[in-house]
Amino acid sequence: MNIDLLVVGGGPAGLMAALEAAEYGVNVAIVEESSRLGGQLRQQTQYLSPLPSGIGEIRGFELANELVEAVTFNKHIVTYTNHTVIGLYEDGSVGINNGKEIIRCETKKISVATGADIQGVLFPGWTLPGVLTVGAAQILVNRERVKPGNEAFIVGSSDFSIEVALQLYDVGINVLGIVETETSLHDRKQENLYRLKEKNIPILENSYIEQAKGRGQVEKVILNQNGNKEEYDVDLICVDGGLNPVIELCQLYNCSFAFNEILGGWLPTYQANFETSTDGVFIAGNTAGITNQGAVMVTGKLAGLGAAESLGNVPEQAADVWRNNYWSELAKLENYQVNEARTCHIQNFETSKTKVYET
Amino acid sequence: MDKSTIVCRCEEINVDEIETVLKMGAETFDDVKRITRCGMGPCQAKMCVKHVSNLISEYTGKPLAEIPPARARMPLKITRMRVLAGTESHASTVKAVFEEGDPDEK
Ligand SMILES: Cc1cc2nc3c(=O)[nH]c(=O)nc-3n(C[C@H](O)[C@H](O)[C@H](O)COP(=O)(O)OP(=O)(O)OC[C@H]3O[C@@H](n4cnc5c(N)ncnc54)[C@H](O)[C@@H]3O)c2cc1C
Ligand code: FES
Repeated sequence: MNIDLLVVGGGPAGLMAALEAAEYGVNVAIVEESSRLGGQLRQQTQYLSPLPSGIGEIRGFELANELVEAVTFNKHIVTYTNHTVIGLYEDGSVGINNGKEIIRCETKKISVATGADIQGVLFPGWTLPGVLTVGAAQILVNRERVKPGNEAFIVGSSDFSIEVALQLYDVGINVLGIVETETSLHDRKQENLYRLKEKNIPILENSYIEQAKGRGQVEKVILNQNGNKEEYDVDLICVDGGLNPVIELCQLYNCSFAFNEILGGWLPTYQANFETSTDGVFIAGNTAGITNQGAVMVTGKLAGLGAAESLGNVPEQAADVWRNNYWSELAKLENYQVNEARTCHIQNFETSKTKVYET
Repeated sequence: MDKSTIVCRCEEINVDEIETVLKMGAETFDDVKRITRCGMGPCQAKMCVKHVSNLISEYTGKPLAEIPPARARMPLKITRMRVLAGTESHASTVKAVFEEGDPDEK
């Protein structure tokens, strides 16, 4: 098989990048480490909003199914699940582990759409069983159908953890509260805050977990709220220490990096076509900055278009027209601050070419 | 925070041990890693890099933007030695890219 574009990661960003490039006749291979395509959408049972124009009301896993179907029936795209990219060889080929051996793949362009890692939160006792990230709790409940506990605290009040709190409530877990160190909850989705009220789940501002205790698993938690300590009986603590782009593969490609707090920390620098400082290496989705699912899809399109253009499959002028459309869509979909940070990150592409690591 | 709080759960390194190497002059995650093994466990630093960076930032007063992330190296993910070496029948052969209809696959 002749590969023009290798897409690493079969989440919404990778799938959109593949579909977009295939529109222009690019031969794409998608490699996905897990046994199924769809990425983190697979366990998202909530209705997604906002989404790119033309997509109606849909839940995360349903959207995943639609994208997977589109990719599966596309004659320009082949997909490989249970295939993990583990690195690069000196000759530039990509090492892919299929469980039996390492396949060396040669490709003209690559699009890295490896998503984000959820970070934990440090407190004494955080390594006890019963402390999970909100993402892990969501996977257990929505995908594996396992109820991870009965009495829970959520730590961190991002929209994501609020959504998970609501989903835990729906399967009969008593959520005692959402612990938040900050005191102002700007920028949260209003409807989510409303649904929390409806279900009587309080957001405990100016508070943090002092300690989790238990023999062999979480049994008690000491909560510090406004300086007052109180002990609660809980068997589940779901923590959200924020999302960070997964950048390892870009490190191997010696891309240059810049730190951007709003986009999730360290991430490769890139241009308006989502190409990094290393020729032929594009990034998409949360790897290119943490944002919402709708925006993740559009970044996939941009990376796919960029790759197709650089392969000579789209004339420059046409590519520019589409790119401008996608960029305006991106600006509509994502949070204003995130879009501003992204624009800034791209404007700094030339100046921020500081290579942080040399091997 | 209690100094005995674990920071790197794979290698069981606590706050106290990290602070000790910071006192010795460690400035980056990789410095801490080389001295303590923090970050060298099965998760390959995925779970501890941010905590360590926060500790470095608190200790040195440097913003996070000046603390580089952990250096990634091949293999990026846990890989069986047998797979890295190649299976017996394929030992030392470089497999054609995504060869279709490989009998071993069936
Ligand atoms: C557990 C979890 C739950 C989430 N739930 C929500 C939510 O409810 N609401 C919300 O707004 N956001 C949520 N997010 C954020 C989520 O990241 C985005 O919604 C969206 O899925 C990002 O899309 P993506 O394509 O960038 O990454 P992903 O969907 O994460 O896709 C990346 C894919 O790349 C694959 N991959 C990674 N490395 C390799 C490799 N080396 N080789 C091969 N394949 C690889 C992964 O297996 C994965 O399938 C969640 C994140 C996580 C981690
Ligand atoms: S937590 Fe440090 S290596 Fe896994």
